[in-house]
Amino acid sequence: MSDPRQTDPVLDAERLREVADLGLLGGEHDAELQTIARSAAERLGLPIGLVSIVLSDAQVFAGTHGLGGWLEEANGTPVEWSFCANSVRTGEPFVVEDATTHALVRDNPLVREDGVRCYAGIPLVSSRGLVLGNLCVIGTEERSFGPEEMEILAELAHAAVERIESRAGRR
Amino acid sequence: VRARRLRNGETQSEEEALYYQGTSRGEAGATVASHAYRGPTATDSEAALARVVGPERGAELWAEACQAAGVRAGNDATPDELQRATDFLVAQGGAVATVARAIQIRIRTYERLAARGATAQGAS
Repeated sequence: MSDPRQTDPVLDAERLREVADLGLLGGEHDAELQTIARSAAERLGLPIGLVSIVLSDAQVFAGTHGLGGWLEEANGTPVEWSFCANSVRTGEPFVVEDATTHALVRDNPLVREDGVRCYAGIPLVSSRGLVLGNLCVIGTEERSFGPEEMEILAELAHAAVERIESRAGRR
Repeated sequence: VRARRLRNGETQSEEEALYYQGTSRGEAGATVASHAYRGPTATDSEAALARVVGPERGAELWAEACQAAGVRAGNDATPDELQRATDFLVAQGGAVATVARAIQIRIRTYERLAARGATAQGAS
């Protein structure tokens, strides 16, 4: 059996050390990251915006807008439910127009039970080239995402990484 | 939080009772049926460490964490005990800390889902 550390970028120890070094283990929300999450949701007209950090076995939210219920209380989810983990694995944006038909997420409990229908996420790439997680928006109705909207998310993702690295003393 | 006394003389809070509902304590956490989600156990936690730092180092770290947190050996740790053991690991920093935080989020996910009234059934 292959070593999961060699096959799954989510488990890459260098990436996880970067997450820890940047103080992204969660617990408290950063006001600027909250603003970025809210801006992403509002500018794309969707109810939820997140700055999501992907750990080894869970994702944790460093900034949130529009969450409610158990997701807000838990401030994260198991990694197997994380849409954002797809970007950690590919290094690319991840877009879901209709989660109920998307092969990678249609059986996800967040889709089946919690009503997630659309998603767009842009990787948060540190200056060392490691993917920390995603800036993402989530909606409860299917929809497509145009290039201009993805550009907005990319700009906000860049701002989020700047904030993360700045508060860690890297900038 | 009300507590009940187990046959072995230990007490168990309602929260713990829910966590281990339908299981023999020490085997596995209960499952939240709506999300088909089981709360993590000590075995799950050690395995999570092993996936990142390797099996030998993972076992060493988990043993250290259990000792430091006063957690009983084996797979019958309560959620509070898992929380204490993972708190120790969070303090170690680095990749180990991220695994420990992930375990804590998995515990909290289970507790929040169970608390909202989702039907909990024994793990099968």
